[in-house]
Amino acid sequence: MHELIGRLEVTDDAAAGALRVIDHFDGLTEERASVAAVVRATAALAGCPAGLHDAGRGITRRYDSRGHSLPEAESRSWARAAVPGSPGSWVWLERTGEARPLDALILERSVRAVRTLTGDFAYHSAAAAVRIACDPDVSDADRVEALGILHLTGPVTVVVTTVFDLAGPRATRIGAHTVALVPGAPDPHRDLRAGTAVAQVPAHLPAALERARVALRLTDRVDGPGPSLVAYDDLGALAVLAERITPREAAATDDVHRLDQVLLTRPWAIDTLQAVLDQASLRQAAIGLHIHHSTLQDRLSWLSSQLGYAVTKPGGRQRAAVAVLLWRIAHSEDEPVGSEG
Amino acid sequence: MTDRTTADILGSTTARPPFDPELAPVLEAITAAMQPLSDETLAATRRYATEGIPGMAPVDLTAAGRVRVEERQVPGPEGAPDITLLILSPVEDRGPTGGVFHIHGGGMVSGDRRTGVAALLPFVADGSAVVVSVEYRLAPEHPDPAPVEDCYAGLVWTAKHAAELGINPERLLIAGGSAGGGLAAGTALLARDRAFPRLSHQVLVCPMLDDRFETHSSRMLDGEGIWDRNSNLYGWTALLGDRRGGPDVSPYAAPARAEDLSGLPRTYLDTGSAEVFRDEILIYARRLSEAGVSVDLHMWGGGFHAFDGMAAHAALSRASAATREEFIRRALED
Repeated sequence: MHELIGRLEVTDDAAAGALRVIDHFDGLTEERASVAAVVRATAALAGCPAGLHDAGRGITRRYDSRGHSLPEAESRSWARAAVPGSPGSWVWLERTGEARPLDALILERSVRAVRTLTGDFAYHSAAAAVRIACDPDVSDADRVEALGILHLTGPVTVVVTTVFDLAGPRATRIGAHTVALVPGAPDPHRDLRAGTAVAQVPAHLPAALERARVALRLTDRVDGPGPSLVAYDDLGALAVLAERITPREAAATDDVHRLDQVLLTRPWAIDTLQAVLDQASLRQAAIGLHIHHSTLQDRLSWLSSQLGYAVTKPGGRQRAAVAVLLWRIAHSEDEPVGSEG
Repeated sequence: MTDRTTADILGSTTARPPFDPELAPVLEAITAAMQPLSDETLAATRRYATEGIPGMAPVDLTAAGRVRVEERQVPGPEGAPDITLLILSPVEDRGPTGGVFHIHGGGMVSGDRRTGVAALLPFVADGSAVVVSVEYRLAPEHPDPAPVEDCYAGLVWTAKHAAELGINPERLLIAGGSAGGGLAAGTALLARDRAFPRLSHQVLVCPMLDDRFETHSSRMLDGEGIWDRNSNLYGWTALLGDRRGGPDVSPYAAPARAEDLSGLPRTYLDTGSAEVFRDEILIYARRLSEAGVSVDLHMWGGGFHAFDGMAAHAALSRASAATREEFIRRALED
């Protein structure tokens, strides 16, 4: 009896099709199926890909009409419906060409099923409010409401860190990072590895989140010679590099490759270069590194023989600065080590 | 039918596992659209099986030009009419590939050579298989042994023309779902006993193996699920008439009756936990293993009969289809 009914796509009798759609979602709700099952059913019934974005829980699910999981994609102007009572949550149909008669009904029953299956537990926590406030896809009203829940007015600083368990009343995980919202100008702890960016108005929060992520790429570890805290707004021209160059592209650069080679046998290489670049004199750099001045001289001459340029010479200094910057970008998505990240 | 009633034969309904939550709504839609199989509904069932549901897009067997579609009339069993084979081969010729001899499902009473063959298209389109699908005569107009002997005749022709078809004779699989799975198992038994051809694998997808209604699962679905015990009784009676359940049924018609399962090809078996064929499949897998055959067995909890074809979007279906596909891919590459 294989494939007697291969598809649920409804193209024949509209009334019968509408009933089938309603029964299908009612059935999923009665059986307490998963939200993912609702999205798959939405795609199968519509005969085109469908997706769910839940800003409160920070999840996106996309499936094609055969139930294959699809990667997250840029949101486009697909026909969509809001999940009632869940700010920033949507179900959409990726219909190319003309809408079908049942599309609106499918969306409506789908968001109702999502609503019933998730309940409202997920949408009133501070974590959900942080996600909603930073979600590019929510309405201005929902964003302002989320900030109200967080008691945030005026400029907000977005702090992004790899530290898993960031203390604070307005922090949550978004993707691979912990994101905290801080009122006003940045004043985070010094002993934190984080990128920050300021949003002057609520609508700038999603962009500020992206900028804080960019800044995080350029940080050093907490006890390293470079800054562990980087504010996007201080980067200026350097931000262009961090924004435009991917970790993969940075890693493919010859100078970065050479630094990686050198690090295999001399773990101090990056710290040494960073200290020399950041300090006004070699003597101060040596003090910062807790090594003798002559040891620093030995290291630098060894490095210049390996790298092909000298950090102490004008041209070499600039080249080293860019190489170290690219090296940080190249390794910005490495697995964090220990609790410090 | 004899004067025994259906209830006499099938006894009381036994307990069943729940259907998977994601599959349950699909089941409701299908049972609403499909009548249980009977003399009255046979014509409509056959129409659905061959033409598909109205409004459903027909499958493009050429896979957008990557698959060559041919049909051949080849000799049937001795004294019987010719049979039609549907032959799907890669347009891009890259030397001999594995061959899949496909037998369609449809409860022994419906379906044609195109039914269900779409599931095998990807293997042809990517150049890893030639598929031959046989049009066998259907019960009740053509009772046993017509269906299984037609299948065997088609298999013999395929094996003898392997070189011409571009099939590596060392990689000849037999595959089928539901009644097609039962016929594939029966045809594999015939091939073993007649010493030709040598099959490398049998892929038996939720196969229909046993006409006796003695297992627990054969009695557990009455008016629910896909292919309930009443439809199953109708299918077996169409094939075997009064012989159904009695002593005169050949193992080629009902492979569960085969006493000797040794010397059969490497086997893939799957079943849903909530279908009538479940126990006969589990028993067949165990007995094949005891006879020294290498078996892959997958039981999918909460699955109804043929769930992955009918509700392809569900997570359970994706898992089941991917597992089977992976096995076939390995079988073709071995």
